[in-house]
Amino acid sequence: MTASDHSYESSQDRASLAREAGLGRLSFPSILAGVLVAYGAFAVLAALVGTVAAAIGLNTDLNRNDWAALGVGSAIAVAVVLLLAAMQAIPDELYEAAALDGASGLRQFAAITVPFLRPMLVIVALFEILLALTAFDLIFALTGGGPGTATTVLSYFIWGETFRMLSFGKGAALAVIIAALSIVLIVGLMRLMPKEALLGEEGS
Amino acid sequence: MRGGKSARFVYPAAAAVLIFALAPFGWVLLSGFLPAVAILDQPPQWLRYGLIDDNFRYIFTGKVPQAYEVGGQLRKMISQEVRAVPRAAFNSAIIAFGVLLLNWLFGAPAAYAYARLRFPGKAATFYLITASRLIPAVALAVPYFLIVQQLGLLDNHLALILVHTVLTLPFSILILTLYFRTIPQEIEEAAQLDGAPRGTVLRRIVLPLALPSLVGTGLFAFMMSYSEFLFALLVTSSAHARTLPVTLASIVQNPDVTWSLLSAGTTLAILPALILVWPIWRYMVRGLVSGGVT
Repeated sequence: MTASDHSYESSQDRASLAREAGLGRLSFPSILAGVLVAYGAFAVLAALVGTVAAAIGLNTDLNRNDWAALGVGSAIAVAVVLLLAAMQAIPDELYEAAALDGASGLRQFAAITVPFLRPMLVIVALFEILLALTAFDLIFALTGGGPGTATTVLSYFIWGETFRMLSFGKGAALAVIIAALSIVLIVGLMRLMPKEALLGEEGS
Repeated sequence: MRGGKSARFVYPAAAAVLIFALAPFGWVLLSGFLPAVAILDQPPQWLRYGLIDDNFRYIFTGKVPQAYEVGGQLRKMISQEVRAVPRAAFNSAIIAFGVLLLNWLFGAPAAYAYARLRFPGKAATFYLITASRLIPAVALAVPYFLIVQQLGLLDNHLALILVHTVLTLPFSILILTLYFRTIPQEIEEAAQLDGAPRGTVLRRIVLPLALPSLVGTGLFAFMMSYSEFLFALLVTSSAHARTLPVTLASIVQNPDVTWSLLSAGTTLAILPALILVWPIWRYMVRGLVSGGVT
């Protein structure tokens, strides 16, 4: 007898089984590959976190917050790298001049760092939003959209409708909705971007 | 950066981020060397049974770990799907390298055209290309699946190489275009005065100068392909072409998964990418950002 003899189709089953096994409220990141790390981390964090959570009386159901935390975890590394690179490109002279004029650290941050970072902040924001909108692999692997439908986000729902229910037409219609949604967000964010940052003869 | 009293805040914050980012890797690495029972202990006593390499041995040779051999009929079930991991790593590597090469082959000339040439519709097509990747992947899942099906490429490495190239190419073109623009035009003009055609200028002058960016974008495409899940799930159906993320997903889908074996498989999955990327990570980050979107 092997493990593959068993397969629990419903996510409810899986969620309750996970609970029985002491798997709890988790959040963990990945730099490299969302799914790859998530599986392993899920495995091993579960025992510890489940114990700790139960000990301090936390609710140990998986819920919406968990996949949000996962998303943050996997995206934070990229955001740090991109923002750091952009910050390093800001000339030191600006800070020196500001310091001579008596500007405080906070004021320097608001008047120099943030404006210079704007294009990169837009890019990072775009990246994060897309990551969140398309969150699929972690949900597929960890919660299966459950418990119930608590972690069934749009992209997971589309996948289920299309390739589980095999209603391709419905899936395509939903795909149009998610595409329209993301276009609205993208266009809105792009307006914050200085015009010459992407294209234009004075590229950088 | 400024030293002194800010260090008191910087180091704890950096340590927190570091732990947040690295702890799962540590856990995965450690638990791959533990028997399953050590992981499921309540409370956890990870090192009580010592470190073992049975999990890795099972993946490669099929020798069932000692902990499972006791108990006869009642012994715990074992996740035998994990034995597909080496084959999946091979598939993933082939596909990711294919994606990397196609990105160089198509990305560099396209980016050069956008960086240097003037042609009608330049701005419009550039925005179209870069924005195309901003559409959520799941919105493209149905059409791509149908296209791959029509081409008869289901469960084929080539299908995934093509799909992943489409997904990564816009980003490569964007980064390479920004980088090419930072190369002083005078160098190219000098070569052109000597009668070198555009193709030669690109191959002999621009590409060597843009090496950091090429490495950066190439590896980025590699990693995207290596860890891409949705399309890999859709277009592969058997172990023949199944990639690592899909294989690991098929293991974890089972509620009776053997966690230690899963961790061992995950370790094996992460290692190649880590070994490939780690030495040139600095180089890669520089190549990706020095195009300077600032």
